[in-house]
Amino acid sequence: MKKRHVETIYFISLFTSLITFFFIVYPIFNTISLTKGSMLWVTLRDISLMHPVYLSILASTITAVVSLFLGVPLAYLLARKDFKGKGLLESIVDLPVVIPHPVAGICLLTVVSPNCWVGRLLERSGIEVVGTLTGIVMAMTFVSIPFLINAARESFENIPWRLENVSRTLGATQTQAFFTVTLPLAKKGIVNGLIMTWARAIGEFGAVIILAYHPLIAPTKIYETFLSYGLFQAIPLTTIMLIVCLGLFFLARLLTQRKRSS
Amino acid sequence: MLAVHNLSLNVGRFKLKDINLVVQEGEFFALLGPTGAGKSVFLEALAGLRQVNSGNIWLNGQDITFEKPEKRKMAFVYQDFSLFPHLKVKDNIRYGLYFQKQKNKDREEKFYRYLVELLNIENLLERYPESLSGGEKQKVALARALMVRPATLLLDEPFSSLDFNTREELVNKLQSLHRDLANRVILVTHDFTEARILANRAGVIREGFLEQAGSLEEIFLKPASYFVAEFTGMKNLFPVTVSEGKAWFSEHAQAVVIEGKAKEGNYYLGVRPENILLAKDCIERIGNCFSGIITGIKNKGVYLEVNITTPFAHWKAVLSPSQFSALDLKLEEKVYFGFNPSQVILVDH
Repeated sequence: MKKRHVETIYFISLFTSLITFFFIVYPIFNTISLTKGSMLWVTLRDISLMHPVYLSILASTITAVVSLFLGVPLAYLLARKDFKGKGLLESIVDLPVVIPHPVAGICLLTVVSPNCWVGRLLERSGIEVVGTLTGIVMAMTFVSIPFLINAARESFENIPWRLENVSRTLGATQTQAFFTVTLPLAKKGIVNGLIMTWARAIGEFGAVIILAYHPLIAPTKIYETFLSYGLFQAIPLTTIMLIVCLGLFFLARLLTQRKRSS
Repeated sequence: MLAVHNLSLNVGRFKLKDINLVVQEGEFFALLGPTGAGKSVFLEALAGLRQVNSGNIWLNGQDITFEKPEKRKMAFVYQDFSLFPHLKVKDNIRYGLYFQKQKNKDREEKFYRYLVELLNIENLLERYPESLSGGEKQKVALARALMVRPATLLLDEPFSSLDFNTREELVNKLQSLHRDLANRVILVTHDFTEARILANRAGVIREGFLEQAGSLEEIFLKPASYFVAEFTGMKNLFPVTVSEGKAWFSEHAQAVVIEGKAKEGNYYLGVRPENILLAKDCIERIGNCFSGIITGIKNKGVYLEVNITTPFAHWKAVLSPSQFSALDLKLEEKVYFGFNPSQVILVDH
């Protein structure tokens, strides 16, 4: 009987996959396994510890919604139109990904401070940014919106423009063609982008602490606890955040998967 | 009447140059040309899907050059069907009705039933496009386009990706639909035979330039250029000089007898391969008789192509398999061939 031959490249792939998965999964698993049930229970009942978690969920959800309304039209424009400076615009969209997040926070702070006309305008309009939920959302949006724009743009690019053309010759305006053909077909990619944006936002720390250290969001609270009381005191809140993030992330994925299969 | 005056537009480096064309109401017009000639670009410009650089498009006396696509009443069917993948077949067909301002539900339902029955797609209505075959998709695309009762139906190579039987079935359906609905149809194709079956008139486009437009007979019998002649299946095209009522092959004392009076000058002489008769002896009565050596025999499936070399030209003739076996032709053998002077076509140089 002939022996089944397995290509060397698959052995290499298997080996590197194992390392990668261990690298991602084991720290999470280890943190959860180190968490004592009693400590977790105490943390869950302590409103001062849980408030940052609620705030993180709220701020990241608002960020995802804001990014959706700001990002989808821009993604559509980038996917469908060719114009001078398009490459530059695409690079600008990716800028927040390459900028270190505390740097992003400083940049935002310079704009919203009274030294800048934008800050003065916001002040006159009664909008407070520094040290508010608005500031948290602003910092989160700055660093996470590229995920939504890029996912949505890719999704729009994969939809043949001929479908819109046909729609228009059948009597639809450009806007009607967008809402009846393009958007439903791009939905899956946009939802994926939305999940990534939300996930990126809930994990944001560097930009947020510059713009709005208070009110505390979960990552700031964990950092503060870690600095003040050490590793083991920070673990229960870390575990709660892990459960919240992974739970919501998998739930969102499950919902999109289900929609896809149906 | 749909009239196009001096229409020009650029798509990247490609240019559509000064197109002039008139298509009457109820007419079936075929736009012919090879791949990359600009046929689809022209069709999209007509539909308002591409902005023109200059020129005008008139529909029933109204300038619609800058009219939005949704206002032109021109439905488009692409070669790749372009069905909406997220909608069931029935919703694809009814899609255009959603945007119509005046609604007559009974009339729409009747027409929907008529299209569904004529195109024989009742069993597909609850399915999504991804589960349909190419022919089924094209039927749905046709129904969807016709459902909005367009004044003009624009078909961009609708049959080119279909197998022979499906294509034949769809061509028949399209003929019936055109007979019943009598709307203006502009069909883009690179298949001259398809155009001959379906269209009343045709135009031949090449590299963005409309070389000829007219009746199919005119294009077939009086091609305006070497390209049109070649595109419509003329395989024997040679430069000749016409004088004394004959067409002379340059540098050879060999002439072809032509019919009628042609102006003296330089032309391309064309003889369709199906009009060339082959024989073991010279057929004098036919008008033009020459001898040559068989230098190639190609089996093309339903017919055979025979290459004949003479000192003044290389000729191509086609024979049915039965004609071929009756003549018992062999390579490198001498053969006589001839054609009637009435079948000689002179194309301007």
